[in-house]
Amino acid sequence: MQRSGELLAGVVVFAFLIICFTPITFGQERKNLNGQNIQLQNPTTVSRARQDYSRLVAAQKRERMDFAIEDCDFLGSRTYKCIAQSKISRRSGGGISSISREGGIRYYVAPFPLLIPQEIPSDPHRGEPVFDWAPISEAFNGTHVLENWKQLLRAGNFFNCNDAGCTVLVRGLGENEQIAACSIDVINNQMGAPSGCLTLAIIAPQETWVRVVAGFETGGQANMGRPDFDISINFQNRPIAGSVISAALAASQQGLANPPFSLSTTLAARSVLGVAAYRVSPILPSSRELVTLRVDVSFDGKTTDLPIPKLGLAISSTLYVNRQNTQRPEDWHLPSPQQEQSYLSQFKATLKRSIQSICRTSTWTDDSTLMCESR
Amino acid sequence: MSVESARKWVIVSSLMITGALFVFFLVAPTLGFPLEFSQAIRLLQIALPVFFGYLGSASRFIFKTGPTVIMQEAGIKNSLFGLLVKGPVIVFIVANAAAFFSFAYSNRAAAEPGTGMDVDTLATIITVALSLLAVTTNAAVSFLFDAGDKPAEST
Repeated sequence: MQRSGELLAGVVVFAFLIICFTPITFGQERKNLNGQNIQLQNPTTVSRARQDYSRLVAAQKRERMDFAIEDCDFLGSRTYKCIAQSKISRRSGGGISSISREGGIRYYVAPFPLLIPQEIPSDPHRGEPVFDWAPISEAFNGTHVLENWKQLLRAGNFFNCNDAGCTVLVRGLGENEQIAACSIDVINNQMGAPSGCLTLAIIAPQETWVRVVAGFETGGQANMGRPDFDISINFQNRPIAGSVISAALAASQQGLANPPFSLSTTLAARSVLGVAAYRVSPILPSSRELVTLRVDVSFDGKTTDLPIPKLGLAISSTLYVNRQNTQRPEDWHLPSPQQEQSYLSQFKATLKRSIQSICRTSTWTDDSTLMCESR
Repeated sequence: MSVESARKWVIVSSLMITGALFVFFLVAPTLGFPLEFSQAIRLLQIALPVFFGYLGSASRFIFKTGPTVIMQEAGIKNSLFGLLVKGPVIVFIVANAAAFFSFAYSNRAAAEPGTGMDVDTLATIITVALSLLAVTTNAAVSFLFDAGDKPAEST
């Protein structure tokens, strides 16, 4: 009995020593997002897709009674049918609700074009794409395209990279399998949080729904995210737009790059971007974070050579947090409303301090309006 | 080891482990241990029922009515009896302590990103340690508390 006890104690001490002195690795570092599951900010369900499709069909049925269907192109390919010389106004939640004869705007009928939103090039003459849900059988080459998406999802590599970032397909967390396309910023090999995720496909056991291109529409910016907060700078001395835009962007970049945020930053013509991945959050110290913060500058005017009375800053954020030091997709989730509020408050305070540096004298007239005499 | 001391050991260890797990899982998230409350409660739900089962068996044994049977207080002659009663509980305690230490250490702020132990792995370790109890201590508890013996009232 005593020998057995000693043996047991020896095994326990040995195991403890091994645990203490062995480098512990429970996960492996990822170089891409293969197999990544993301908690989507706007998750979609099969029932919602079904409702959207019913509305689309009803609207098109009414339209077909009055207007002819004709051949038309989609990004250079003339294999599609559409309702031409018509205008279909969008309902508030996206999609199509009513039709009136106006303009030269295209709205497709089945089989609908199917393309990752980020891959549709911007064209102000053509308008912004409008997406709607349809069964996969109603999409042009739907099964083939979906198979391609699944391959991209499995690989998890970034693609469609340009100045605005890259695109990556992720699996959305939900009751059914969901494939979503997200934008992702990569600065100095530092990956930001997947942002602007849009569900492309919902794969249920009995049915598959895909987000098709329902048409193109001018006069709106589809899928544009709402900024988290705005800052307005009113100038007392009407400086030249170009100089204050540069100064505001540089000040914003300082705010993002310096503590407490210490993000990797990149500067574009009208925006500055900061990213950080898998680090201990300096704002939410009990969590690790995957974050992208973005500041966009706007002004009323056509050129940057003229004096301007005011400048607008639109600030948006994408934040995922994890209480553990893991890279398992399911551990990364959106922050709670309280965490998000705390993060944005800190960011706003930091940015306000930075922005003040572009002014010789300045006064905050309210929480988001700065009266400034520029340098 | 006598039967009576084995019963005391099972009851005392079950109470202590239950109390320790309660305190740990309820307090740890507030003290910076890398667990969210919902995760701590989930682990509590995994770990506690086994010990509740032991304590339930002991309670039924103590308070059951009916004719008392004079038990074999002299003890069990098999020298492995004590090891089988105490050993799995000790291993459970040590395995859990090691798992919690490892979980906290790999999830500390200074750890290399992505190298932390996830909650599901921690839950698996707890479950494996509990399964050791299930195949060993359960049998002992069944013998100690459900074999029909009841200690004679000391009147």
